[in-house]
Amino acid sequence: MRARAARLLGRAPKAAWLCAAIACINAVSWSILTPAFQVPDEPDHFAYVKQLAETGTRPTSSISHLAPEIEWTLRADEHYQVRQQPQHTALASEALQEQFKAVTSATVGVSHGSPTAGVATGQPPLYYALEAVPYLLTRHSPIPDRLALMRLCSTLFAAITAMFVFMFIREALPAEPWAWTVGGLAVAVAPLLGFVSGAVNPEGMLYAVAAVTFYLLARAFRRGLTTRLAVTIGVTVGIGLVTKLNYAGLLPGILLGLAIASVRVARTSRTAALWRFAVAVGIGLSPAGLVVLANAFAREPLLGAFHGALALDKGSLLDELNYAWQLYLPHLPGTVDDFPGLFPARQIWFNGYVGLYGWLDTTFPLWVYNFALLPAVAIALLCARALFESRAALRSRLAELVVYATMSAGVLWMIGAASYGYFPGVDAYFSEVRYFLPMLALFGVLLALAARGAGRRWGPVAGALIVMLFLAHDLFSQALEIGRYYG
Amino acid sequence: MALSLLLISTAMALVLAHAPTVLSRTNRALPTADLVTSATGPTRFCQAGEYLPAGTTAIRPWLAANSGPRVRLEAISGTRAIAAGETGSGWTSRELTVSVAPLKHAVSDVTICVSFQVRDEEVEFVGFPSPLSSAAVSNGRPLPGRLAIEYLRPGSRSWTSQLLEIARRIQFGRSLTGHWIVGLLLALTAGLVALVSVALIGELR
Repeated sequence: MRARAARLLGRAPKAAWLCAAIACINAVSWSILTPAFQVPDEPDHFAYVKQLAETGTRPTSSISHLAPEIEWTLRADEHYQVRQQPQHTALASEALQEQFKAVTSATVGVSHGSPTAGVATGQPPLYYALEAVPYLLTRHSPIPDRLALMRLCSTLFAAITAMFVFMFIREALPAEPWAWTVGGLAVAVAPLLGFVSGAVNPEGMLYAVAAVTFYLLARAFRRGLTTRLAVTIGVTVGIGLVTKLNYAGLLPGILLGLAIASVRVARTSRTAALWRFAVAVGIGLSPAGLVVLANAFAREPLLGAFHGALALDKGSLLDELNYAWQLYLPHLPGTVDDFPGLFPARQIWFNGYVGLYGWLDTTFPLWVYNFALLPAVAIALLCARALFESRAALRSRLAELVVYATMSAGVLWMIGAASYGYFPGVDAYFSEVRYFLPMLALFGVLLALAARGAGRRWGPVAGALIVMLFLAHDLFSQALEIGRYYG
Repeated sequence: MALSLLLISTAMALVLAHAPTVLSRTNRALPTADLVTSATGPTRFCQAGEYLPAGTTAIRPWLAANSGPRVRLEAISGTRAIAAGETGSGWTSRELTVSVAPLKHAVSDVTICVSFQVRDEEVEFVGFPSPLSSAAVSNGRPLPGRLAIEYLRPGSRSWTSQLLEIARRIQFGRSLTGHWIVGLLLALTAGLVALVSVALIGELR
């Protein structure tokens, strides 16, 4: 298995490795410049790791009072004053720093876990189990040191994400090798990827597993579903499902993809097709199956935390679908407008992508969001041109496109369904663009297509401009973060 | 690519030459903040007894929402609006900042009014308790406290002149501190730019 993985990666072009290195460096920068716990939900994720590492059990309560030593650290770091109060910077004086060091040194040797882990409590344990390794390596150090090493380990997932986005583009658009680099590099320097992967958050790993999934499916479509590939897809899906609940959003699309790839195999051998489909699905769903069985024995909702998260027992399905539609697109005639005075596509998602960091409290001046529309529209037009020009190729790959669209729709529906649970009290509870990042592979393809849309002669120039635009976005986002916390 | 790098450097230099907005005044009586009230419908909120410092270019009322509505803010002296501004919908958390035209002179006993329309979303007013006589009023109804409001103006020191101070403060909030953190950040940024350039030159020729 290891030899196969090494062969697989060994075949990756140099540019793929460069993309991985760049994404990792970028995430390391973000991990250093973002003050401890100033990333959404990071204290809760840290508490989960602490509980798992120190007691070997998962947290059991989602209340927000974490272990006392975490709370001491948060208070010494003025966390509650800084969070969501953009005018309040991080620690500003030597005296506060000395106090901080004194308080955090008292956290050494306190190892009673944290039975409470806030919003992280219901999440599956794989990412936290991996993060328990750096946690235990630094268990004799103050909490901020443990957090710093855990963050560094998380940055490796940014590298994996960028590498497999590159590899996915290579499979999806094999004709123009230079365009792979454009998509891979642009994703590698995407500030939101660095911001999230540079923190303790299972989403960093989710993006990586999702990128691998997209790559493997693209490989199945291009080269056929072999038994080896079916096993690899199954293992990846299994890993995804025990990384973060959101991965389940990709599942309908993955199943559809496997079904289509198996039908193609069935043209030569029905038995092989059935076997490969069964292997991939069986391995992939077995962790989830075990959870359902455990819940059945414990007489809890079969889908566990997933059940509540998707608001499955709230209102009619039609209302929920209508809400989910409007969360991204204009409301249809004859339906109730769930977002009066708000155009979520622009004001929540586009602006959120352009710049919303920290605890959703760090933003650019308003003109930046308006200005950002110009390059965004230019990229969209170039992309549309490339799609139009390759319409014949698109028709021949319609089934593959439907699979990717289904995977995206699944992710979007999950965000919508989870937000619907809080509606109408809160219009869009899970309105953070980081939830879209499992679809980074598709974003990379769109950027590569945009570069190709400029034509053979100007394509590489447009590609270089797109990458430099993303690099500028990243550098100014980092400057924004530095100004907000240390200015 | 060289042109892009030049543009980025120039833009960064322009940003660094610019002075950031600073807090010129806050009405917060206490370091902590509490929920004063919340609104889920059309609201006009007014608070008297505010002091509008000279040169104020933005006002930050402590409203909190997940996807906030369009908000109009007015600073009223007597019966006349002396400053006003509006911000679009979609703001989140407590990052609502309303730009206003600066006044040459400070004005005391100003009433700050905030109005917006919401149907479902809950907008929270965060502030501090106060006697009924000085409390804020929402839709004509007195509240149990006052809204925290911050007044911002352009600072006098550019980012460039603050770089050493920023470099010192980046070292705080960590157990392992030292100048090496700043050096490492600079090296990472330089490495990032260099690697992106190498990749572009190597692959897009």
